[in-house]
Amino acid sequence: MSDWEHVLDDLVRLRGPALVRHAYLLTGDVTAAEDLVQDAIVATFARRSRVRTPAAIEGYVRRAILTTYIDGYRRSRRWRDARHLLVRSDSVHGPESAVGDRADVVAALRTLAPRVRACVVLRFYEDLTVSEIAEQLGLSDGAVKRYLSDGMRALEAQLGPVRDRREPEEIDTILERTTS
Amino acid sequence: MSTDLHELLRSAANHVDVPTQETGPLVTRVRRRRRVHAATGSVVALVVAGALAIAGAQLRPASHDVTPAPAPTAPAGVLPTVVPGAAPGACGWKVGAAWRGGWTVDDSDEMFQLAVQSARSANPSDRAIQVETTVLSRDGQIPASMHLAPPTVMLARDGVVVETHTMGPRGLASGPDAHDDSATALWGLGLPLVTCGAAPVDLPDGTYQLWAVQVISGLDGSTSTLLGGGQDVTLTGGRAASLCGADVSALPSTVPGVDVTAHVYYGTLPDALFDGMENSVGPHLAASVSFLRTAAGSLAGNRASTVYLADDSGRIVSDGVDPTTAQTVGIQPVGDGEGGDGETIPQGATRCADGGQLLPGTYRAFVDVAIDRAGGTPGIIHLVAESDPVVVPAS
Repeated sequence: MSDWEHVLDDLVRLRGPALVRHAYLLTGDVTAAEDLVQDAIVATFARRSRVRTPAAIEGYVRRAILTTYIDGYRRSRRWRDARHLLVRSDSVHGPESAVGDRADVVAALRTLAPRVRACVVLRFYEDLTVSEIAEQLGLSDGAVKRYLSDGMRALEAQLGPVRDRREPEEIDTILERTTS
Repeated sequence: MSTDLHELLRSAANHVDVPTQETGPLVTRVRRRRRVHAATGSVVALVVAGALAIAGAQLRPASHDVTPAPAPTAPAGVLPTVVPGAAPGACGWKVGAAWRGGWTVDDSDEMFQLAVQSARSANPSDRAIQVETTVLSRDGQIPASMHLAPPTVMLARDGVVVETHTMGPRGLASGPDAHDDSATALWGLGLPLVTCGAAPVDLPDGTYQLWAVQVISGLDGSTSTLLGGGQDVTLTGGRAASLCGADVSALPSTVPGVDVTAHVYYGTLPDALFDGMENSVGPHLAASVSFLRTAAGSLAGNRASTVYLADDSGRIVSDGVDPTTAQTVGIQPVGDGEGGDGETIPQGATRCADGGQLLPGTYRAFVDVAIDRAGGTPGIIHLVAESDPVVVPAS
């Protein structure tokens, strides 16, 4: 087994589940998330002959996940089978409420355009700053703020008011754009 | 009460049951990719993942390599005739005898299907029609171990192949890893409008049927010859007939049993809707389309969508074809659901007559979604809807 094969094996074993969970929020489907991660891993390792550690390569794989997702959406996801966009029941409380909320947020994410969705996932799941998201996606800070604004506005339309308790100032700034 | 989006996303992600992943197949795929890259030394032109989202003006595929030299027009009665024992796809092969109402010539494989579509009209300078083929897998997977030979595309008259061309290694998608990570594999070329055989001549005007065959084989040595198509292609004046300048009544009718609605957009397209389209800076036409199947059979297959604009008199002035550029079909998959929705591939907001920008004014707008259904049904069906009018503002 060559060096890169050892690294690939370690990456899949140690970081595979985390990468799939990240991809799941983009695709909304576990199988599609696994495919997305595998495609990203193949693309990354096929192009990089020198890979030494999983930690060193994970960043490239994550970026490949984003670009593959966004590009793949453009190619193949313009035509989708009709589906119910939300699975929220009329009234949900108690333990089953959490299940409903999880399903709702995944369904609501599906309604977002791919770049918007990627921004939301990077911001609220990966905890990246606006500048970090911009760097990851090759966008300007302003574009990221616009996408986040659009995303939060769309999510609020489906989920009700949303908040991020960690950095209220930045989110308030973003949310201000939704009312302008 | 507000929703903590951070917690909600973490909860949703953490409740995903992630199966253990095998690294063996990944290593194999990486090795194959590295071999291909090393062998070709350049980008392999591959387009997979079930769709081709390339605006026509963006792509000048390798198909132009097969643009024919001028050929004499065929006198009546000189079309190739039946050749007994001709191999599938060969000149003189009788398609009608092979078509078994199924998916394959040899009736041995129902898992994979071949869909074929041609562009609405050809680049006038080419004397060829753009054709794209896609292999579809009924279970959503084309194993990396399966070998797909390049497809052979044919035009048939009265069920007999009169023109045939096998796509080469420079098709839109080819090479050993063209299909290793998707459910479909796609090829494209320009099919010259000349007769097959030793002395090619221009095909005479008339209606032909577009077909394709493609051999697939597995590691166990089993092979199947897929057969797909059946789309009518009408040649007028030596070229594929166009609806440019025709009355809107010439548009095809929607297949019964499907309700279709559409909204056509005009303008510089927003990134969120058409991200990645390099030519989205100029005015474009695109549409969102929804359909609900009420009675028709499955619509699963491949589609090619076109936005048509008509002027006050009902004359079609834009048909998705810019006569100044090469065209591609841009086929995309349609799922096997009760309904569907999606966006069409953007097309230039140009006049079909001369390629110029559309003049300011209000136009009637129509969308035609042409579907080559998988599952052995020959021919093309159409989903056609009229949108709200499109207003082209004065610049």
